[in-house]
Amino acid sequence: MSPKLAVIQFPGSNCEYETRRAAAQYGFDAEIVRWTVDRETFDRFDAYILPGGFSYQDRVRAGVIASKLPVLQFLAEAAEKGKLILGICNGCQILAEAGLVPGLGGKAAISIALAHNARQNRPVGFICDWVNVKVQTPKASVFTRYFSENDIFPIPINHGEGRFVLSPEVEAVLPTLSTVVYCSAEGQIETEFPINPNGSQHNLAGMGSQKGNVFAIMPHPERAAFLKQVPESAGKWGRDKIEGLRTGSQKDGPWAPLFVSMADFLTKG
Amino acid sequence: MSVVSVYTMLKNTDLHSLSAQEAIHEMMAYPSLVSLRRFGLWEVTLASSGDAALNEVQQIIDQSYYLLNPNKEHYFISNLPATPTSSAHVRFLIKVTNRLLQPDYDAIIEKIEKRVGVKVNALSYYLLWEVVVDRRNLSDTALRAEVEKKVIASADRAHGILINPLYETMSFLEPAYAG
Repeated sequence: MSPKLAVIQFPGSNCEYETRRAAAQYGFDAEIVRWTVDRETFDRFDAYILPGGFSYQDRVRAGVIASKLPVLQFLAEAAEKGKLILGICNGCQILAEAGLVPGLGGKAAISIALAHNARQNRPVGFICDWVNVKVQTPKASVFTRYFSENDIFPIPINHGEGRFVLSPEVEAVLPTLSTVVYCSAEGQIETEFPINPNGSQHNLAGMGSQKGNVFAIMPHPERAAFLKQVPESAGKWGRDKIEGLRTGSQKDGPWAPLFVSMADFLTKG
Repeated sequence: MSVVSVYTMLKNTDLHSLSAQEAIHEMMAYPSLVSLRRFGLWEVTLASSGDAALNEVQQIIDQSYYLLNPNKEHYFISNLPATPTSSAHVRFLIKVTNRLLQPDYDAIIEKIEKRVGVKVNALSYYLLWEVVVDRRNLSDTALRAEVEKKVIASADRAHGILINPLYETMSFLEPAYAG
């Protein structure tokens, strides 16, 4: 039987359907539930994804209003029990504002922030583009354990507030956490724009929790889960796509292993 | 030399304040919040002072959109009128600085001079929250500490919403006063 996954739709979410599609393709019995979900229904799921979008129109700060909802208390308790939780884009912002990532010492205290995009501290506004990333310390998280540190992956970003800011406590343990970082097409972690598109500390694009069962990522893995979603200019992945179109075969996209790893963890451990 | 403050606010409903107020009441269990409003605050430094400085700021507002858009924003120069409140309420004004962003004020100053002919020496912009709370026989100091902890500085899901201390700093504008 497939593990059950809930994509939690907030008022203003806009990526819930493509997220469900990616999760369903790679092993989940996935459904969309609303932010008002009751406790009994919530507890029926093994894993949860907070999708991208603009919950509450990004009022006050992106993700902060949604982070106060009762469903985030449910999620905090689920995280404590070891259930899997993935926050993508606005979902990443919500997890940060709720203190669920990186959850140092098991506490839900706010210790990372997603600030406004900037280039040398000058505001750059909303960014919509494909970027390259690589994974560091992949084995420290359920979500990244199938990736290798040497791999370079294309992935789309769509955000105005995606600049990771860390507390000193998180800085101290950063090398032990699984992280996704912006890099060049050759894999160089260059801190300058446009390789680092938003001024993130340490080029961060995503970060796992200390326990490894929660992950917050600003780029959109669900939009690079199928090879057909990748642009033809995306190096090896683009060439694979063209080859697939020529031969009529379609392989998994660069971010399929994230969803496969989640499902495998729940079925095989 | 003088610094003139220009307070701006939306003419229609400010959804940021509305959602924050609802979250504070309904989700953060802090019923003592009476009202919440959000302003923009420009601090315009001019070589002139007194009425001459006020006239120059008025001239900038009348002849350009660089500080605000009067079609959709109200504005107040120098003084922010008090919200009508009873003596049972206390108002706090919280000035917020985003310490990571440095907007290109020099470019705005240059445009103002070119379009309006007014020389601005320096310009800065802040967010300003007006928080009105029930006094409940608490001292100003106790209320201020309570507001900072429960309403302003985000620490966890239950505490704070208006600023994120990881990249924003805040200061209370004096004095806190009853209506």
